[in-house]
Amino acid sequence: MQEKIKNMSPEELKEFQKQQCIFCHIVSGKVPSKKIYEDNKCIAILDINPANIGHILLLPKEHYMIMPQVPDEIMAHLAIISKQLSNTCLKAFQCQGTNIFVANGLVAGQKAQHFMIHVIPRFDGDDLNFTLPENPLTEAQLKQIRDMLRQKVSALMGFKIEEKTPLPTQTQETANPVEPIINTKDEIDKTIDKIEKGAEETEKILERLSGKKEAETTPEKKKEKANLDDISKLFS
Amino acid sequence: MECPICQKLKENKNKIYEDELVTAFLKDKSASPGHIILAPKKHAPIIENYDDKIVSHIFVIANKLSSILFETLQIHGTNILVNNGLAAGQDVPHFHLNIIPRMENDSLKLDWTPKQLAEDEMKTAELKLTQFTGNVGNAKQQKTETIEVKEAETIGNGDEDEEENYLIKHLHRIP
Ligand SMILES: [Zn+2]
Ligand SMILES: [Zn+2]
Repeated sequence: MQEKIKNMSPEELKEFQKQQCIFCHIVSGKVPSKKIYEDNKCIAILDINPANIGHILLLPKEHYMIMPQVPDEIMAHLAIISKQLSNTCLKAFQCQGTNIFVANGLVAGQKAQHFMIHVIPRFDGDDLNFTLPENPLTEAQLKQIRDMLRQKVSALMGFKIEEKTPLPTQTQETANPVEPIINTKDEIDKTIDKIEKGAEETEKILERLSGKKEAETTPEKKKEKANLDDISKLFS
Repeated sequence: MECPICQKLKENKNKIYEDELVTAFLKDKSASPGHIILAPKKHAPIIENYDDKIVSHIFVIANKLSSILFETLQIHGTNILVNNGLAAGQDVPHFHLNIIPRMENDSLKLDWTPKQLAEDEMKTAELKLTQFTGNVGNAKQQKTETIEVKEAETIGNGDEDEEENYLIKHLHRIP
């Protein structure tokens, strides 16, 4: 099997992945499911291992392993349907809340190789807990992360915050050292174009998600195959 | 007291991204280093209060910011989490997405033990949900751009409005 995977073209590999993916079989109807909603882009089913009663999985019909692969148009559609499914849960179960949850990568709790959004009904006093811890970061940590993220956001999304050196007499409150440049719709569109061109970045992310070490240098040709190979092993 | 998210949106200190509709900032008390809060500029408590334009835009931007976290912080995963309503763990009465970097062996627990439900319980859940999914995906072009806090997504029949308003009000009860 290993040998067979290694000799596949990227197209064959994608086809192979789909054949291995239980959710693709659910989409095609080969595997039965409790279907809540369906349109031409997505399908919503009940999770058979639910966090709570009524736990819904919303899946794009197309096979995407992780969120960075999902095109904006599909993401936008899934977001709207998630909102409506959340509302459906409120009405159907008279529940007091919902969690909308995405896990990207094994360490984040992703269990299936098909990207999905979880919509989970919540009841007062149920046994679930999505309360996030609040660990304070030091000013130095914050600055380091902020600078790195701003640089990347500026390069990829066109949004720039320009740091002005505050005058020494100004206090922290009055200094306002940062001037945001607000994006217009055009700029948002340009951003989207730029990011769509970042397909190789997605490949790198996939490698990391599959647990493959960044430092490992594989010859360019073998890269994708090895990576998909790893992923199929990890998920199987 | 002013909403803490509205307050944060005015500050530039930890701002990472901003456009006409949404703002993202780095959380200083974070689930993990690089934890981003992405929120609509317009204040409203829950996702149901926002029109499709904002909801779709915010998830598209969340996807991009999540990718940027991957590229920047050498992490191995991300979670996107919306706590919608007090019972869901919502701590601030302003709808927002948490974008959370994940590393191997980090101490975060965002998991659950699957519940074993009997076939008839699953069937009941399916029936209850499908009663209300008739119009999911339909009404999206008819949304107006202004958002009223009391305006709820209209799925289902008009005679459910009262119940829906009740649910929405119920969800608004966040300290
Ligand atoms: Zn699939
Ligand atoms: Zn607010």
